[in-house]
Amino acid sequence: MKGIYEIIADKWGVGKEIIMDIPKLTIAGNREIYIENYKGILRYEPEEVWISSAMGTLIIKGAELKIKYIGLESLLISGVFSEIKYNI
Amino acid sequence: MFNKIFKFLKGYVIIEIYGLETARFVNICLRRGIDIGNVLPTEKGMSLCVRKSDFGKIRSVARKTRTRVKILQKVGLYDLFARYRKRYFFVIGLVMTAAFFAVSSRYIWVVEINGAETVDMDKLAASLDSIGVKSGALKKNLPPGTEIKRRITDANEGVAWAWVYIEGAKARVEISEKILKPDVIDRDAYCDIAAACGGVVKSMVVKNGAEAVKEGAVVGAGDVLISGKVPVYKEGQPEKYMYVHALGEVEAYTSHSRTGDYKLYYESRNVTGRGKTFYSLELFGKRFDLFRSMNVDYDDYNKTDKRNELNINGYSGICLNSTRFDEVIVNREPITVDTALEIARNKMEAEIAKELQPKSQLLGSDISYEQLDDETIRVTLNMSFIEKIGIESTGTEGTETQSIETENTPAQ
Repeated sequence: MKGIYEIIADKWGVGKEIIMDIPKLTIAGNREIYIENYKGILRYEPEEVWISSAMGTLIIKGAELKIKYIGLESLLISGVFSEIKYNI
Repeated sequence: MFNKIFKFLKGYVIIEIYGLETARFVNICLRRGIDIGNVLPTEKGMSLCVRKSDFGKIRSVARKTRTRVKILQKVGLYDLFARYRKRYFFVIGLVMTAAFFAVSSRYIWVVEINGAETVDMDKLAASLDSIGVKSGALKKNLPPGTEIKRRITDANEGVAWAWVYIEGAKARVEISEKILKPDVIDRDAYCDIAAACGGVVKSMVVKNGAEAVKEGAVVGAGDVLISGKVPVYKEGQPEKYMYVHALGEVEAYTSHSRTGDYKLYYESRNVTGRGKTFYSLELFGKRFDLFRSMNVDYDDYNKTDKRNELNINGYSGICLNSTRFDEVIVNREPITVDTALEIARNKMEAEIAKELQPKSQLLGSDISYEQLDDETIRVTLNMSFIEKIGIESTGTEGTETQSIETENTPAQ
C-alpha cells in the first residue's frame, strides 16, 4: 500500500528519493554502483559491503569490491557484483 | 589531473584503521566533514586517505570508535622535500640539472638548413655564421628575423627567401631558392665554336664567324670548329680582324666506349637476425662515443644510422645516436653471360648518355667481352653517333682585342 509521501511523489512527479528519503541506486552492468542518499557504511570487505539506508541495509556481494568515492550523501562502489539485496 | 596536483601540493596521509568499528569510523569522519578517499579493505581493517589538515581531527573519532590508526605513508610536496632533505648529492644533481637546462636552452647548439639544393652551402653557412646563427650563439643576441632574412638573401644570390626558426637549442633555417632565369646569349660577345668531343666532321653550317675545319676533318675535343676571329683585310694591307660571336652547327661522327668488369653471379643479402647497436651521445654538436670502438666480427653486414633527439619544448641540444650493424649472409646466384652482358650494357649506356650532346643520333653499337676468370668478364661497349659537337668556347683573344676592333663588318 502506498504511503502519503509516495502518493505525493507520484502526483507531483518528483523523485521519490527526495521526498521519501530513500536511497537511489544507479547500476552500470555488474561493475559499478552509485548510491545516493545513504546513511552510512556498516561493513566493508572485498567480497561484501553493507550499507545502511532509510529502507534498511543494502547488501552488495561480489568480488574485488572497492569504494572508489565516498561522500556524505553518495558513494561509488566498483567491482564484480554477484548479488544486490535489501535486508529489511 | 589538477585535482591530483592540488592534492599532492596540500599533502595527504594514507592511514590504516583497524579495530571494532572501522565502518563507523568512516561514517563519523564523513559527518564531521573530514574528507576521506581511496577507501580500500585490508587484512586488518581498511586503509584510506586523509588530508594532512584533517589528520588531527581523526584522533577523537578513533577514540570514540575504539579503532587504532596506523600511518602507512605521508604523501605531498612537503614530505618529498623532507624525505630528500639529507640526500645532498641528489639535491645538488637536481639543481645542477635544472640549471644546466636553464642555461643551455639560452643557446643555439645545432643549426639545421632545409631547402638548399643548388645554393653554395659553404657560402650560406659562412653568411649564417657572420649573422650569429651558429653553434654556441646566445639566442637573445640574434638580430630580428627580418634582418636575418635580408642579410642571408643579400649574401647569397640564389636565395629568394629565408627564415630562421628557433626550436629549443636548434636553429632551423628554411631556405627558398630562386628560379634562375636562363642565360641570355650575348650576341656581341666574342666566342668560338669548339668540339665537345673528338670525331670526324660530317657537316657544317656556319651562321656567324669563320670556318676553321672542313667536312671530313678529324677533330679532337676542344679543337676550334668555327672561329669568332674573322679576318677583314686585303692582301698587302696590315692584318686586321673582327671578333664576333661565332654561331653555327657542326655534325660529326663520334664514337664512345666504355669498359668494365662484371661478375657472373648476382648477390642477394639476407639478414640473419644477429646484430649489434652502438650508441653515441651528442651534446651541443659534440659527439661522444659510448663505445671504445665500433668493431663487429661479422663478415658482411648492413649498417643503419638513427638519430634520437631529446625534445623539451624544442630540441634540447642532447641527442642519442645509434649505429646498428645487422649481420647478413650474402648468397651468390650464378647468371649467364648474356644476362651479365645485358646488365653491363644498361649500365654503360646510361654512363655514355651522360656525356652525349643533345639530339645525338645513334648509328650503331657493338658489345664484346673477354673472360678474366670463372666469375668475371671484361665487357667493352662501343657506340657510334652522329652528334652536334659544337659548343661555345670563349677565347682569350677576345678580351685583349675588344678595344682594338671597332669595325662592324658583316661576317664572311
